[in-house]
Amino acid sequence: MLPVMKILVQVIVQKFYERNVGLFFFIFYLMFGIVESTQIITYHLSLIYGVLSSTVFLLMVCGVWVLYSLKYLQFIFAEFDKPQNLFLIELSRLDRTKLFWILLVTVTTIDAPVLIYSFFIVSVGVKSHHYLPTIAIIGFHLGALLTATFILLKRLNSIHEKASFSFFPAIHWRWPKPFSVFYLGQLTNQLPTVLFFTKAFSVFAVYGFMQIPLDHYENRVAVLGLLIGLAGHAVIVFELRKFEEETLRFLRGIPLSIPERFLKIATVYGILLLPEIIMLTIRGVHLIDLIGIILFATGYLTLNHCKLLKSELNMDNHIQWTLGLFLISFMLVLFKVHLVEMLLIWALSYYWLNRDYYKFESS
Amino acid sequence: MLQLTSAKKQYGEHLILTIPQLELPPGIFWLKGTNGSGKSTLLKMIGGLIPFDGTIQLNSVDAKKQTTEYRRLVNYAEAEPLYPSFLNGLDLISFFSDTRKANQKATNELIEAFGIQSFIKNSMGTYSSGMLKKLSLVLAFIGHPKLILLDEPLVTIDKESVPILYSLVKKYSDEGVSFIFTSHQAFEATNLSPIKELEVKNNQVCFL
Repeated sequence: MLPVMKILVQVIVQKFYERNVGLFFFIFYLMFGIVESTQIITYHLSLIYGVLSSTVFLLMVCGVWVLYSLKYLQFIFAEFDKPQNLFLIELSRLDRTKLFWILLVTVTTIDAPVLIYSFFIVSVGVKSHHYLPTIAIIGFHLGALLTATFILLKRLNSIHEKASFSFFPAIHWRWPKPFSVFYLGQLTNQLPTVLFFTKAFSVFAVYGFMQIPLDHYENRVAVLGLLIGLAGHAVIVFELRKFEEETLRFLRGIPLSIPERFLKIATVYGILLLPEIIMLTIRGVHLIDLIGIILFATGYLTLNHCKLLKSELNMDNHIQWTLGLFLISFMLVLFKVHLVEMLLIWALSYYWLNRDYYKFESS
Repeated sequence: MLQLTSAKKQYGEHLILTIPQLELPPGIFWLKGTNGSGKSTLLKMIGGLIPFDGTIQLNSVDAKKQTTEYRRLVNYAEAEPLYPSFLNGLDLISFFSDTRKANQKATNELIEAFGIQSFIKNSMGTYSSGMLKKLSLVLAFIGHPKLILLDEPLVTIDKESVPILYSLVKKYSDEGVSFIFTSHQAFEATNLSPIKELEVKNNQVCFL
């Protein structure tokens, strides 16, 4: 491997996958974990035929791929802007053609998960004579890869001119900032794409479940949809805990009692769940159920946060925990005991925070 | 009086500090030691920022058992402060003032003393290391502490700020606040009360 390529793999590609391991794990689970092993091929063939035969479905999938491209481009731009990566400006001294190919390989490596799945779609498309959508998919990826490469090329040549770049405008809070903004600001300013994806996924999950036709009112449908959305918050919870350890470490020296800290953390997650709460309200969930669901969901995310005080911050372990809690909660909701679970969740969250807050130290 | 009893810090099998007994009366203490000897670790232990074995008490308030009360008495400024880049200095000062129930007038005086009012409303992502350091020093003096821990306070601040820091240490010290600071440079202020020297060596802390 070329020394330049090796550097880019280490500084950009490897870091991108490390940063998003949770997201990939989660998507992998959604794609392959929720279907019985004997039905995986049939399931994916149905999905692929859906993409190939429905223009709307194809456009939706392309939309998701565009968002993924924006996500990795924003990540690369953020890495370019980091002081420790300022040496990457040296890349602009390379021959333009050579740099183009190096960047194309970098982008292709990051896009690999999408490209691999697209390869299967294209194979099925050719075999089943869906030539037009197949050509559209190939054209889309070629266009996306070339566009991304040219954008990076342009950015590298002006790395000294711009301090930062974001496809999703960061929200700047202009009013006095309460404690919650210390956390939420990290999401709106540093991780807007993660926030956008997570909230879109979560709200969509709630909406989707509430579309299920039933002959009577059933609050569990909303809770089940929300549970999927909450599981999708795994990356956000992890990032907030990491941020707390890395940048908000001064908070440990602040004279706040454990109950105060607990309430403040729970408030952060309560605010974070506003889009889902609005969706539930719009979809006509009864007020008393809505209050219960808000308490359940806020406690659920707070528990995940407090769980990360128990051991080293490890994304793989966190994802396993998130999925385990999701499956248990799913069953408890089905058996109509989620209100009992809610009480347990709050009690356990507080217990863990109280026990582990001052004991935790990241290595 | 700061008391450390059977205080120990280790990472895995690696012992950093072991302090069977240490009593520091009110005063100003200069903590010396080579790089990596454990000076910052000791300050973080005393500041209640990292877990440790044993007991640390300030005026009989226990760092582990009376966590909130203890943190009201001890302020700490990091050697290399790190704050969220999207917040501005004023956000943090307001937050610290609020949680430490600080006097607004005294806080404003600190802001003026270090001359940080010109950039205090800019987001911290635009601060230089010196500006961050000044902000962290302002934060260290906010509230009603009985002990202020300053980790390498002289590093990265400009020479104009050094006498300001000395005068604040003198003022707070006269009001009964104790200081423990680490520094590879000598504290040159001659008008300070006698500075007692401590050394971290071979995982232990001793008076010089």
